[in-house]
Amino acid sequence: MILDIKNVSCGYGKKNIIENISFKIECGEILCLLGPNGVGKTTFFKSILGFLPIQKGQVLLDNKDIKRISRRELAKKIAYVPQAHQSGFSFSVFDVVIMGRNPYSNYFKGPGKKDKEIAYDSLKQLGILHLAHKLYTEISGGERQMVLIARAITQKTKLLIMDEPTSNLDFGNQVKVLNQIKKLSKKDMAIIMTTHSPDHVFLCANKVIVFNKGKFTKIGKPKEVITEGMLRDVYGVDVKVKEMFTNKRVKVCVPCLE
Amino acid sequence: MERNIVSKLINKKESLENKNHNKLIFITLIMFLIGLIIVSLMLGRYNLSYKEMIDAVINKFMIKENAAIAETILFNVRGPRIFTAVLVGGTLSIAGASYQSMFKNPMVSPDLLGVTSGAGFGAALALLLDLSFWSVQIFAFSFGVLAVFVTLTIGKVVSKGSSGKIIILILSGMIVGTLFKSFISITKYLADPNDSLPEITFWLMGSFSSVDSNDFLKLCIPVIIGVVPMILLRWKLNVMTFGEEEAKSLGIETEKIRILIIIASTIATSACISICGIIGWVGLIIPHITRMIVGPNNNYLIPTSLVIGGIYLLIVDNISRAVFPIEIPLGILTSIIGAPFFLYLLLKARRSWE
Repeated sequence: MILDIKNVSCGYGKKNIIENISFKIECGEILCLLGPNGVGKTTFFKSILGFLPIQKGQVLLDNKDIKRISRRELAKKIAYVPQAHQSGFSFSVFDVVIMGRNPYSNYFKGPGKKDKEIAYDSLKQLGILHLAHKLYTEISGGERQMVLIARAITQKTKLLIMDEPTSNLDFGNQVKVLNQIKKLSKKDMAIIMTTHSPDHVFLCANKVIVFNKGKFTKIGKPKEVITEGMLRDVYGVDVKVKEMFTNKRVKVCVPCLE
Repeated sequence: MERNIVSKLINKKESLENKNHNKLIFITLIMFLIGLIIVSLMLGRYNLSYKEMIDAVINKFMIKENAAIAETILFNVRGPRIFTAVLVGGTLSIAGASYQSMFKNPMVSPDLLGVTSGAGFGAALALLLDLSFWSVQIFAFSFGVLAVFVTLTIGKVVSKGSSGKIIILILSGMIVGTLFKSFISITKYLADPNDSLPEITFWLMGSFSSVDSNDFLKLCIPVIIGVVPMILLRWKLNVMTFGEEEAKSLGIETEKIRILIIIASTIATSACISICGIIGWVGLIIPHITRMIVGPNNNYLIPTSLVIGGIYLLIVDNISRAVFPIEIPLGILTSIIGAPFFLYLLLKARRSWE
């Protein structure tokens, strides 16, 4: 699977938010989108997922324009993990996860036995099988995020698009989610995610795109792109980027307070 | 690993129990409904005994002698009325359940998009013009659809493809609903006070008292056309509760499903309205009660609310015709029951809204 973003411009209506961006992502890669609030990361996601029409350019999935792929077919290829949210209805976790099988059932049919097994497998894979019969409305934010990832895995896609999967989570849950993301990429999935933490980019991404106001974007390997100068430019704060050794070499960003 | 397998087994068992549990509830409710129908048939100003009832049935289908009083009551008066009450109650509930899932808000009902007011106006207009049964139906459906169409158009124009469509849609529905309610008032104002005004007024209050077997059979057609798609699409409705974008990302053509459900529920609801007037609150209350019993999964919610809605409206209609010395219009009773229940929901839901 290759997702090829070709000279894409997107935004709402006539208003342009992101201009002329191009990149490719393949199986096994993790691509992080980094940038301050309101630069259009979400808009960009919505455009890739086909929720918003693209103003210019093309999004090609295995050389096929996604505009020409039906919703159902697209849902077999790209899964979307929204930020953990509340639901007005108290579905059980299992009911939520099995919704990931929707693209594989026709209009009038519900999930079958095989779909149920796949849903259980996803829960097991993420280590949250014990939540299966709890109510989605009554579990914690971190657990809800895991459930939404499980639902996306149940879709059996090659590409996962995640909207700030670590936001609103406590420290431990952030690490758990990052670990899962890494595991998924090792199972040959491609992952595109947004984040507010450059540390997370260092921890798991192969590629990073930095969005900045004024439409300047930078694409490349995290170690090359995320520098003290870049962070100052984009966020307007002083940050030291240092290398350290945990169980392997990683770079970390530490802000300098006044 | 071992723990995983064990918990997997436990979970499978639990889910199986849960499934069977809901099935058991469904079967119990159906049996209760059948029992209730039989009791309701005996109940009324002219009480029928078991024996009279069985005799009447045998006479009707086997002997075919001249009809006795019991037979007339059973087949021309009480029977059609009871079955209509069940049908209408179920239909309004299922339409409400579909709307609540579709608009991902447990606080809405078909009145929301102006369907009720629109269909109400159409039927009132047809009554004012003294038109035939089918014309009343067609008027009610046309204005019901017109109301939805206007609501959707306003919603589309105002939101211009941006987010927050649902709330704008609900507000547009309020505008259209209010407009059609004033149109209903105009028809009342114009109606002949000796002839069509009482008819319209009484019909608006909601009642099954004038329903005959012919009405019931005619009502079945649009109701089936409307209810069947809602039952078939119940899985898609589950996904719709997670909102437009998530539903799309899960492979649902949300626009298509939404239009289908709106048309289906409008056909069914306006048919009910044109026969027995505006019966409020059922579409809001029943799906709620049902959700408390079987949970929000539309696989169970939709069929079960159909049955519970039928039970509810039949009980209320029994009260309306058999408890008080004069018959109380049904719409009044459902409102008296509905308002405090809605308050209860509001108090209960406040926690999750904050």
